[in-house]
Amino acid sequence: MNGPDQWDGREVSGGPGERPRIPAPRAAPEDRGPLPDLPPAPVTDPAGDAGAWDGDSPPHDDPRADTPREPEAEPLTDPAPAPAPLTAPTPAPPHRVLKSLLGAWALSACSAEETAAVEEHLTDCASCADEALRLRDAVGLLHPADSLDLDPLLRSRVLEGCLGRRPARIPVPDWAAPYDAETAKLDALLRDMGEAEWRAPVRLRWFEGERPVERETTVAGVMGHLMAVDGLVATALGLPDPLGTAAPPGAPNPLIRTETFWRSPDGELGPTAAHGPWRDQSYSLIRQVSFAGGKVAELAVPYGDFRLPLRDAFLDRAFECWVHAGDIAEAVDYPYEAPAAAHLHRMVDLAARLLPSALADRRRAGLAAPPQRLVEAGAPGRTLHLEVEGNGGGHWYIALDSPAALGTPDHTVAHIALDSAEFCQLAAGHILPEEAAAGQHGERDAIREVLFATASLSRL
Amino acid sequence: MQQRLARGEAAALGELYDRFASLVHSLAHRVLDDEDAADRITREVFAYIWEHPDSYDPKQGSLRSWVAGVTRHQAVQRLRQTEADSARDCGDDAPAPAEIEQKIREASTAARADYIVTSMPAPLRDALELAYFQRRDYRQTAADLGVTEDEARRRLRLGLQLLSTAHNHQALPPTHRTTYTSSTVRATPAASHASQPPLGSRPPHTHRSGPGSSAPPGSGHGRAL
Repeated sequence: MNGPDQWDGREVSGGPGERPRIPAPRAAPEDRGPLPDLPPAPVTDPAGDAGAWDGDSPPHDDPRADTPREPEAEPLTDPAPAPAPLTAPTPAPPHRVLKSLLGAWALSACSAEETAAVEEHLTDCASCADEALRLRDAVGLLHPADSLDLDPLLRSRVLEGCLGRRPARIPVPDWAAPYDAETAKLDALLRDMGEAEWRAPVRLRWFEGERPVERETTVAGVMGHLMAVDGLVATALGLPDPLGTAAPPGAPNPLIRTETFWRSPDGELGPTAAHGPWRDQSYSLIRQVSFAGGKVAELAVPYGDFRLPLRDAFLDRAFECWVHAGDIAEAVDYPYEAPAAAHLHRMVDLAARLLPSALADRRRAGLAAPPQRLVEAGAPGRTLHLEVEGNGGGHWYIALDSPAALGTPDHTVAHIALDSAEFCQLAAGHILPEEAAAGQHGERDAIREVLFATASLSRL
Repeated sequence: MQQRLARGEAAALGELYDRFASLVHSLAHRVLDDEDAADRITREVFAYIWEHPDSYDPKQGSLRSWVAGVTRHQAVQRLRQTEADSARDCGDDAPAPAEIEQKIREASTAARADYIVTSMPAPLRDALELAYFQRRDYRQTAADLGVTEDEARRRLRLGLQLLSTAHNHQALPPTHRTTYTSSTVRATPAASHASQPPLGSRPPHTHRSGPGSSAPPGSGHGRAL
């Protein structure tokens, strides 16, 4: 019944229907303009680009099981349904065309003429009327997607809750937790972004010698950078190098690796191409250190002219991930949260531990005054008291004379107090040492050198 | 993933969260309409999965559909609880039990519908998005998608047909406890009736068109994993 061939050609304005008229769907959208004579669409392969889905027949064609499946429901097996061309505006479209309009009708996405023709048809076609009701009810279930962003701190609360109930047999080492959290947060940001936003220009800033430098790239370029430098840690752990055969020879260097990646064919793939590989690599890193456990914490990771033990390299990468996620968020105008206090504290701690070496590097480069006196290794020397306030803050005592000297409260010659956000911005090279809002007390040269050394921790 | 969870790999738990947290949270929010309650359900769902990774049977469907089912179950249970509590507090002014059941059923259906929309093939979802949320007619939808008008009509119809299967499931009755059979949660039409498991004594909520025994065998679309 009601097959396409049985349509009797009755005109739209035919006799009154015997079935109760189905009320109109939601109010019609704004005027679409006249479309008088429903020209049949050119008969092309209806599969179109829907190849992702197999074109099976609709799930509920007709509840009456004795009705043979109508051919138009299976476009792939019948690619040329060939409706009779309708040239005259007067006759109503055939059943199969009206039936195909039911979805559009339920959504008020037909022309006024089509809407009238469908509604006329519903008065005397039981199967279409049933389906029309069902589809119209379904429209009521459409609901705009929640724009609610998940609270980034929910992740750690959920995972803690789980691990409290069933402890992990293979835990993530706690020195890798900041990297785990920061990569997850950046991943969530990237998933919220549209493709156009991946092309947004991003200004990368850092500090070299005595001056700030900056470089323009895109979100995609930042992700390539993060992946190329994370690759240093990956290769140290025996994982594949994301640069593959393009990896530059010689001592690994974050800047050279980044530029190599940007120039490589991989660096020029679509804007979002780096997202998946970056995330896969960060997952692999976390998994690798989970299985290796404490054994690899002290493994040396070469960073060009210095090395970091793996536990610190993971902190460094967590810090970089946060800083660059902040760059991306700023570029696309999204809010972005600072790390959890415990994680931020570890990052500040890493920077504070690196400061004596950074001071020594600056002295060697002639950028800082030579030490005022020589101190035996392990002996207390002149000290700067670094007080970081707020989220993740604390007190650190920085040895000023040599990386081998011991910083102690008793030998404090200067005191700096600044907010943790300000300290991190300084260490990221985002603000100038002269402009850092720091409370200062004591030897001015020592203070200046430590602020400059903090900024010099930044790099591309 | 299931093996890694069973092995007690915390890294796998993190990956599970990253993959499904927004699904879990949004479904819980749809049922409970409360941010804190959705947070709590999210914690409970992941804790349940972490503690019972073996309760997922891959033969029954995708991990994603199972996670959605666990979520809806927990959220509906919570809604039932809060409705019962507030009914007790209201005394004589409490809504009739049938009214409460209706509310629970609607919330459960809304969560199913959301899941179906997120799981349906992208061409169908995109067509619905244009026609409903952007208020494009089907010709404009066809032009926007670069497909024929026939194809646009077909996608709109098929998308709504998939969505309408959200009505074909019953709300979880109070007696239903912790057996999460995947057949209660799958969005594919094939699973919607034929394998309806025995869920307590409540007769299934039947749609006016009755069970679609003519539903085709599941073709696997709607599987995100």
